[in-house]
Amino acid sequence: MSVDLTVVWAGILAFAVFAYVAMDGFDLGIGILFPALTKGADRNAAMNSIAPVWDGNETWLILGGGGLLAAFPLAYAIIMPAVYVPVILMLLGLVFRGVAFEYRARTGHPWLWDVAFAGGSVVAGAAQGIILGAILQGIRVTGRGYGGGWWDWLSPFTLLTGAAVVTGYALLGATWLVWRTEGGLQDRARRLAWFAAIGTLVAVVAVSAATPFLTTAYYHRWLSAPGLYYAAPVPVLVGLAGFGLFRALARKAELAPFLLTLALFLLSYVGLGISMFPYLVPSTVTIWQAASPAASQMFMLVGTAVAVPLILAYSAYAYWLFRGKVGHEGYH
Amino acid sequence: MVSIGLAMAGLGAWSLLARARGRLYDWSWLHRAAVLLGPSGFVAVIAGWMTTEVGRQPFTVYHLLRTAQSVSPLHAPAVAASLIAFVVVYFLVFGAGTLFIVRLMSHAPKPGETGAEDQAVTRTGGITPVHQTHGLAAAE
Repeated sequence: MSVDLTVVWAGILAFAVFAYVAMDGFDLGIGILFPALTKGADRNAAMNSIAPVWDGNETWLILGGGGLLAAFPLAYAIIMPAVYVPVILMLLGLVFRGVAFEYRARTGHPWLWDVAFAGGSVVAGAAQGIILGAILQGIRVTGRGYGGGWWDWLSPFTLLTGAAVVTGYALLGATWLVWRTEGGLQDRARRLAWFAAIGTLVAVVAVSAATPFLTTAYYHRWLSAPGLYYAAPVPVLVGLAGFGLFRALARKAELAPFLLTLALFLLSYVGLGISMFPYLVPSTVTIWQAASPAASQMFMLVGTAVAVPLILAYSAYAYWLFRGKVGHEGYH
Repeated sequence: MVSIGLAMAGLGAWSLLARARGRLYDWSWLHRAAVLLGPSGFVAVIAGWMTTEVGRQPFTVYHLLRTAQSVSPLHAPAVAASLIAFVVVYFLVFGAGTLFIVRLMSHAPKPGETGAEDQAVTRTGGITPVHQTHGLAAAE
């Protein structure tokens, strides 16, 4: 067979994870920014701007997790126990912020669900960043299983990546609000976007500076030939996107800041791919070693080939239906 | 679980019959049965889950993989802590939900009441309507 199924599945997973980060990123960002928004109408409008799409956005987390289990079972078996605590924290955080959408408008104590929404979003975002950092810094493997303890994921580097993802999500959320709201809320979101943009760029620089020193493999890939030639354009593009983002915020552009933030995320993600590929568990398990039998991968590919275009179609329809500015009464 | 399912289908058939006879809104025994079956969905889901999980023991994959062989290399405190966390969170969230449902059920519907859907804007789950900004406290 000329097409390598394993590479196809790695591509599907990479797509699912990025789709998740980009889409759930901005709605988690709204939760992270919630304490900085004025109580009442502004918070309602911010929440209403994501209410029709946030649960669809989380579909991609299921495809990412389920796809990893089905297509790369060995990687799943090693990674999940290694990041068990942050994964559980993320799920519990998502529980709180998810029910907040339904309960907030129906209780006498909306502040309680505002706390659940903001707290759940921060915990979920931080846990995702910590998971990313924990995989990147390496996982102890014994035989064909995880060989470490249940706190191995905790290190200064993973705390840094956790803070980086929370800040990045806040930037996505702020620029989404700049795009989808108007008036006082939009002004507030634009000011928040400035702070979040500075924080995000500092975090990107800090994580990028720390990564090559985690293992010699990363070091060689980023800082010596020939890896340097492939890797060098990424930091340059990050700089350009960051510059463009500040320019766009300064000239009060509406959509451009959100798109440039997505570009920043995509570039960071490509950078991550440069560090990791072709490993799923750094320097231990490659995508080919982790792959399930070709028959399984083919079987699932057929289902995925039907389901993913369908999901993309109805998601696109939902975004189209709820396009434009959100008013104080929901979508017009 | 199966008998609850049959009871649900039975209630559906009964209400169809009531509708055909034009008695859907004033057959009080039907309404009592509907209230009685209120929590049946939750009970059926949990009972079904337990049947599956308990029924397949000691296997994870029936006759192929034993549960003892398939456990993750996790330390016991990690599993205990996450279990406790889930129990606490589920009690909080389901507690709030139950409270909300019971409060809804405590108000009898007013005769001649029209639906809540009188807003002109597009509605979807999770949208906060303007008139509910201050919650039930203001509505009462």
